[in-house]
Amino acid sequence: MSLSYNEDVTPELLRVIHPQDYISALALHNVRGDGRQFDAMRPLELALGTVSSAEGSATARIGNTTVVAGAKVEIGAPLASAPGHGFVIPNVIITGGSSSEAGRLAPSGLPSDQAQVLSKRLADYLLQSGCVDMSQLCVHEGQCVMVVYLDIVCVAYDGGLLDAALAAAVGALRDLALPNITFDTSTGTASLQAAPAGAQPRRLTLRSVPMSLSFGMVPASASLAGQATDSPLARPLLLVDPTADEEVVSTGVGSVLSLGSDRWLGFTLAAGTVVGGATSAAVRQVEPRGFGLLSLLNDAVCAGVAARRAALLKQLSIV
Amino acid sequence: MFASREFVSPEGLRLDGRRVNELRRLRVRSGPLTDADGSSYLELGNTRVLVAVYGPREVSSAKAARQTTQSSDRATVCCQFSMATFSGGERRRKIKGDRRTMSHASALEKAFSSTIAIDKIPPRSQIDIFVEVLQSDGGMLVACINATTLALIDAGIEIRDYLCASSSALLNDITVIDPNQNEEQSFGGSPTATVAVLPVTGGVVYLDVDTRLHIDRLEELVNQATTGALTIHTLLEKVVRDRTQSTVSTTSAQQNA
Repeated sequence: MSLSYNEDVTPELLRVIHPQDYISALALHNVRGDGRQFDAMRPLELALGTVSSAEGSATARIGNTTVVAGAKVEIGAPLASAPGHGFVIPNVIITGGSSSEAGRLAPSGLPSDQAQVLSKRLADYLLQSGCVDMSQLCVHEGQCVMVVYLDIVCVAYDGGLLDAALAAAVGALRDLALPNITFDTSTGTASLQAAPAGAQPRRLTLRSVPMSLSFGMVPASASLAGQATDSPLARPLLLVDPTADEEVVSTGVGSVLSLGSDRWLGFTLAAGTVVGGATSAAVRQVEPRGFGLLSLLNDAVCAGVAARRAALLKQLSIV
Repeated sequence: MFASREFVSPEGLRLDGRRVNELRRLRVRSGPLTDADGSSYLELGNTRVLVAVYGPREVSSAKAARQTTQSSDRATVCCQFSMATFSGGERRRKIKGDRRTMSHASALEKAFSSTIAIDKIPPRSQIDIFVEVLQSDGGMLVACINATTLALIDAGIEIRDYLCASSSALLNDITVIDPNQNEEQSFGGSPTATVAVLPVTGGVVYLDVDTRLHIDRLEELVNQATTGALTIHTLLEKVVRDRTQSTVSTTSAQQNA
């Protein structure tokens, strides 16, 4: 059982000219381009305090994907509807050098669609997870609160950007040393006080640690139609933590958002370029009963989420 | 603001403990990005920059396309320069496209157009240099030039010579080498010279003094910066040699196996 290419086509060439068949050819041997199993994820590395000009910072790496997050604190007025709550405003920036395509897609200086979508998603997830108790950012109720600008820079892109960005964001919030701000009610001005020498900076208490694990669905290979049904290629593949190459050939890319101990924050499934038979077949395949899309979480993904969560907590030194 | 004498103590030490002719610690890594054709990460004290180089590849940007039609027998160097919003003291609202980042990008483009052996690069192609400043603490352009040289070498793009840069500042009649942000901005902007040289072939590719300065002090300032650039050259060359050595030994070990 082999793919019908003549022998001039080297694996490296196949990867470029026909990425889907490349992944299928490897799938025959139950392996992926970087040697992982279908259900294996790349390790997540997180380092806190990597940029000293930011009040809080973290660098997250998943395989070749590298994301640097920095938090800067400014003063602002609270919303009338929540007078005691500050703000956390995430913003994702994908640098031109992060992948060979990134520099071509957004040369004008505008953030790419992907960056804007991610910024919105991160804002939603951080808010919905209740990760930061916004009242910790209050300086003077109704008058003055802290605004945490959380800028997340993707410097190298190889898939799993949401996962890395969320980890870096949480890392930077964990690392954030809140400035000592006092508010003078008589003049209505806020001023920055120097922290006493040797004093421990005030840090945020994180009430939960949101994290995500991405997966991609690769449809059954078209060039392999008519193969035996027990072949791994007869069914759509579920790839945990896809790389950029694998994301390109996936018809559906989704993420599982977890808050730990069986609490799910959310679930996204963004169908890729082709929404059609392959995707719905994939959904049907792993969703035998009407339990919503959550039943897509097969055991492998669940185990992956748990393992990544444990690693993340260890790196954040929360046990 | 600090009193003027405090920038250099009577013992000849600066606020960060360096002597007047001492560079900040230089830490470099060649090839941190796997997708890029060449890349480098450089730390000069607290200034941190990441450079990715792609190319030579087909022309895609409008700017390069324009230049290609103007001179069709040459390759084009395109530089995108951006600073992380959290890179400095105040949060920057704009990360690229403002006047300062544009002037840095254009300085890098010009400096490297004359450093890359452009006649050996396929004509009508484009070399993209992406510079990301993660943290800036003075000497930003210096760090960017040195990092870009390293990234170009990592990409295997032929260059005439290393392009090495350093800077010096005049603080109340004392010349200090490689000033940090605090020193650069002292006295409302002290005279700072940024120099980029080709150390082996000899030649100055970039020279910038951004504040009013007495002509008698110029030579000393430029000399100090040049000395710094030559020191950086020896450091960069060691990094490149070490990396090449280890690549060669790994490759030959693989071939023997």
